[in-house]
Amino acid sequence: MNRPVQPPVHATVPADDLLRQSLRAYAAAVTAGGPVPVSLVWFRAERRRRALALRRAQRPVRIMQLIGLLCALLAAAWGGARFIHLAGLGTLLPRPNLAEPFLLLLIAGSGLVLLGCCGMLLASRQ
Amino acid sequence: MANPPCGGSLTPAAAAIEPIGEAAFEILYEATARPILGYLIAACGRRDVAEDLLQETFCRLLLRWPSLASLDADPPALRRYLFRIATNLLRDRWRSGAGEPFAEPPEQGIAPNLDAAVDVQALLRQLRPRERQLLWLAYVEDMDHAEIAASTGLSRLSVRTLLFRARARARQFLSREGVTS
Repeated sequence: MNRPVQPPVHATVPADDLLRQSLRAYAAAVTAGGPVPVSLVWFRAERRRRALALRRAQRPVRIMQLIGLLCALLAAAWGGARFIHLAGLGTLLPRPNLAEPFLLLLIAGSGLVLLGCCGMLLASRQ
Repeated sequence: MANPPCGGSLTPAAAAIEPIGEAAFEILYEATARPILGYLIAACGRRDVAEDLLQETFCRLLLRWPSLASLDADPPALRRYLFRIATNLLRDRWRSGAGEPFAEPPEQGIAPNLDAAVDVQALLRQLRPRERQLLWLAYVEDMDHAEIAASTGLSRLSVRTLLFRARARARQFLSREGVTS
């Protein structure tokens, strides 16, 4: 079986040289206008840094808002059911009752939100 | 070399290091932006995209600077790191399908009218994205296999194989064009 004869390594050198020269000439031509001004890059990085810092700072506030909303929804649901029962509108419904762990959780959640609010208020005054 | 520029977080000790100043960054940018811009233009074929990716490359460098401050004392490593960020950005762009390289004709005034024997844009268009990157780093940036591996995230063996193929394809192109025998 005849195998194709590989050219010796030195045979590729002129092509390599030509390729190198051409690519470098192309590089010089396409970058002749120069890159974008450094101030533009700096500004973009600063804006990104601030956006990241803001997002990081807002994370605990978001968590607190979520806990507060959850507590408010649960309390409203329980209050509504209690009102319906007391008004005699929903006699078929079982009397709403707060199990002790649930009540503790609700109180703890509300306390956490209040503490968070106080903490943020104090931090904002510094 | 520092960790790849994707993911990772700053340690408290690293975060305590001062961020790079604007003047120092300007010096760094002047020294390294042009080669990276050339690389990005060659890889993606569009100057507007390349300029955007260039900005993003340096943006990422600045945001991660506290953990990279040790690279400041090693300019070649810093240069390789910048090429690595640029390579990752190019890869992310292609993966997201934001644009096929050389899918659109280059803008007027971008295609250099060279009196060169080789139509470089046609050559680059013939090559696969990875081959373009490797060929560029080897021939324009004069990087060896280890440096290319560090700049692209490939293994040295892969670089060797892929570069061999890229060279073969480039040689085929040149002989087809009648530039070389």
